[in-house]
Amino acid sequence: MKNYLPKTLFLLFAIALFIPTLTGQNFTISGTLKDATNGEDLIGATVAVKGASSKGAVTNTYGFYSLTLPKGDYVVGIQYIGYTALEEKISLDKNITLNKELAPESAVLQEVVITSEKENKNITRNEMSVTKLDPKDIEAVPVLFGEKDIIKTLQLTPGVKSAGDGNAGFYVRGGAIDQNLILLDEAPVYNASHLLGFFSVFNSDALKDVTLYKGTMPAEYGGRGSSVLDIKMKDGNNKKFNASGGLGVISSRLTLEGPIQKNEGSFIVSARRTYADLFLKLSPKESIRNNTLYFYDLNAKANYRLGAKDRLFLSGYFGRDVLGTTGFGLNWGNYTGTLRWNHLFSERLFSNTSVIFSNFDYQFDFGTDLNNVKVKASIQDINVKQDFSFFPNTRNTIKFGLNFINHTFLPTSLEAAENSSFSNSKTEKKYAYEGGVYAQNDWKLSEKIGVQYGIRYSLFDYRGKGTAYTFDNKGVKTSETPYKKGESIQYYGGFEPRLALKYQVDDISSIKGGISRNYQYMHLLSNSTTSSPTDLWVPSSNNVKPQIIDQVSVGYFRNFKDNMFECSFETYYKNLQNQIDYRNGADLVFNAEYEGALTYGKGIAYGAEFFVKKNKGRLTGWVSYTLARSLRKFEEINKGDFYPAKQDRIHDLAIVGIYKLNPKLTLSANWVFYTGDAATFPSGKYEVAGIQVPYYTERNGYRFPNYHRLDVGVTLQGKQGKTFESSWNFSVYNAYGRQNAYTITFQQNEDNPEQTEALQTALFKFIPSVTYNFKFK
Amino acid sequence: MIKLLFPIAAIVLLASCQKVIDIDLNSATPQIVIEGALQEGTQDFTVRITKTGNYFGTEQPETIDNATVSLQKGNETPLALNNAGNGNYTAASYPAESGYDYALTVVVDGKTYTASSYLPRPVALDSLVAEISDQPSFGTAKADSFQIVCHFQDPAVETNFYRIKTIVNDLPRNKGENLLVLEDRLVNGNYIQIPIFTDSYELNDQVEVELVSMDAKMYDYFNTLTSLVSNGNSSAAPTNPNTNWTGGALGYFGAFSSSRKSVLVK
Repeated sequence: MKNYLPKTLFLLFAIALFIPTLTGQNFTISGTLKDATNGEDLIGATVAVKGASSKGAVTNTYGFYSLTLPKGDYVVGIQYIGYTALEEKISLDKNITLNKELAPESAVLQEVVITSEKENKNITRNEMSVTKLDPKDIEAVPVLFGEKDIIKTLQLTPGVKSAGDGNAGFYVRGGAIDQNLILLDEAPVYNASHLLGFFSVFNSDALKDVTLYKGTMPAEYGGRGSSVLDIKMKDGNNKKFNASGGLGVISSRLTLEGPIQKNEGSFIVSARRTYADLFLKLSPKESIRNNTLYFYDLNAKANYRLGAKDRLFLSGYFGRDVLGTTGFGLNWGNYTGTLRWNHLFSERLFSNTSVIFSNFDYQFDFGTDLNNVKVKASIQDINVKQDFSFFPNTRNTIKFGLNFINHTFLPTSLEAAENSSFSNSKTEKKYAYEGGVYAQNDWKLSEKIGVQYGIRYSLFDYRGKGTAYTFDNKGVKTSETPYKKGESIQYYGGFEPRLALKYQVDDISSIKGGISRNYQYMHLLSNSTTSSPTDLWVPSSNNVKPQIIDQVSVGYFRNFKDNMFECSFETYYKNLQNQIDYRNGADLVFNAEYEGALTYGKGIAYGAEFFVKKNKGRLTGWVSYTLARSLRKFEEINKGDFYPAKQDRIHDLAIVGIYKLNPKLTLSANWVFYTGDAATFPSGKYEVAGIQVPYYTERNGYRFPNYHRLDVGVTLQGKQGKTFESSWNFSVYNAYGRQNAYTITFQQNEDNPEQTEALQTALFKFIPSVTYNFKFK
Repeated sequence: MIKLLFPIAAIVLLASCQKVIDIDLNSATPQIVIEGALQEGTQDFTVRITKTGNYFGTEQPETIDNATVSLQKGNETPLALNNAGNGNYTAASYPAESGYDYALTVVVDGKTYTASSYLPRPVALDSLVAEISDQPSFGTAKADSFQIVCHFQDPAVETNFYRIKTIVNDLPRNKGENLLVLEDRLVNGNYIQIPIFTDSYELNDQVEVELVSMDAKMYDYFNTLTSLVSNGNSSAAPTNPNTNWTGGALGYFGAFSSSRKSVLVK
């Protein structure tokens, strides 16, 4: 079947492009939709002919829409949830530009809206398995240290699991952490967490739109197997200058935004820094005072309209963690930069050109000045991307484009001072090209049937200058071949078909299905329980094959009580090829021949997701339940039998409730329950070298105790003046103090070494926090 | 080293709480464990053969008393070890020489287990320096305690693997958290100064340090053993150490040479 899918998709494109344009004389209404208060582009707003909702268009990432209709008179409705709808009478006898600004409704209705779009968009859109989050609406959800975090809120939705207590790493539908493509203004973020994983790098003050694709993803995305988390930064207020921020227990935030030229351009700068280390300074002990421990983030963006058809955007992110004690220092962080140019070739052809830079690196050093040793590793991307959106008619929206990435990897290199015991060890850099070409059509076949079909061809070229190694099946090196600069060492490429179907039963219910294939050419090697900055990104090579992940999903969507309740039920099955694990005792650091330490296998993941959400009224919130399995199979592990992956949590339940007591006071709570992680525990012990050693018989044959936790929060609005407003947020994480296992270690008893015991470490128990937020307008 | 520091940093940051918990563990079918450490020089060589027991069990391990054990040096005729009872098999006053391969063969109930190990030349410890530790968050070191730095010249012509053992006031420090193994992959031919960061010492401690040399297979065994039993280990997927036994036994047979030095902490 897989071989026919690409051909069928090509045929469909031909139909979409040529057939429907043959009828009569058509004209186009196009333009940009914005928020009337701050000039931010509205993403996903609809423009539709009154009384014929299938004749409509949706704004893209830049707020642009294009609607082509036969000559005639129309009433056009413009809608965006949370905003006052507009109607416009139009005589369409020529192409019309219609730019509009929508005013937000007074924020009485909803505190938390996950889908900030047309009310039954979840029913009518062709795509399934999409979660949208509006960063300004997650404020009431209580989180650890009061540090609102989009990723932690996403972890409360179906199919998304946290990587551990308080952790900002996440698994989507049984996939690994490295199978999530995390994009910030199109730039990939290679390590999305701060402070050993407890915070994500995304400061929600600077964000506008967060979309997670966990099933069939649109063809414009590629490079990772399980999901795309597409995060878009705010453009900045282009009406007037304002400043906002917050003071919290752990960190403080400040955002400045304003027009560069009114209505034509704006900027935003948003910064955040933690200050846990400032408390260390209060310690009477010098050894503690000397510790450093903090992170900071800086998001900055500017945009400027060069004319009716051109617009430029420049955005960047800089973040760094610094951790140090006497004789040891570690710091790591991401830099990303995106330069974008929007151009309208015609009313129906929208173009965006991007040049994207992304860098992640870590460095650590230890020893004194004389015998200091510095270790460095990094990954750097330069990416050029061209995307087109073509709006031939009301039934089709075609997207096509291409991109090309130059990857440079510095695995780990060691620089030692003269007097150090260590020798300099410069691991050679690795180079690779990655590219993609795609086309996709969103096709409204009829009032009831919609199809989104697309195809992507992706390629990866692992190149010199470098050395290619081969290994036998025990991981012993058998050959070593040097390659010259630019010489191809290994080429991979493949078609990635994507197909999503929708059958709309009626206005309030639909059935959808999707099938897709994704190639993943970059892999993260990690040998610790949680994600750590020293995890190693490596390219596919002559030894490491690209991961191939296929997914089939089916879902039923239904809304109740005039879209007050949104319900969905989705099931999926995933097949994962060329998964990577490593041999026991693998040394991944400073090891040019790390590929010999890797072993390859496969996996499957399947599950069912239930979601009920209440969008309106004083009480809002949702219930999310996932029943899922994720299994792996490696010849060398578990005697070649399937075993549960670490993220194989069978049951995962989250309940989120937000209650607006009065206009000033909002109460919130969430409760989380999930099956304990799969873990490897000993099934016996023996003595060697005078040490009691645990004896292991199977991988992940045990479970951590079930995890559950209640968080509660209160948000108190302060004075809402014309120029100033403020609010207080109080929350308690893990309110009933459940000791959830973070690690379970098996060890000898301190006093009686003959006695062995299981020691559980729990991290966060009853963590209160308070945050003060303010805004000068 | 990184592995060691991360959990520690996490603990500095957070008020974590620990407790001993009850867990229902399966009882695996008992597995044969063979341990034999052959030291350079003329001394008694003992091989101990036991079986694995329940993880939380406190009883002494079951011993294997019906095995036949033989030791072979290079291509010489194998020497049969005496069954000393209680799971022990011995060769009294056995002269082990560096520069030779040794092979140990064990037959239990008709099943044969073999392992071999090369006995490397010892590397001389040059000196030991005891100094006040200013790194309170390293390993088990307490604030204001002492650490000992070992100084020695790594031979450039060969690949070396080391283990550092200490005996403090005549008591060996042999807990899992004290295991310290090294390889010279990044330090080959250099003059090494390495603190024993898996332990700390008090004023007036008499500390004897043994620098043990071993072959690559033994390093692999002790390195993978260390990651199982060291402090703060949190490997996502622990597995049994990489043994050099064929036939499916646990444990190891290793040939070791060593040099020693003593220091009084003051």
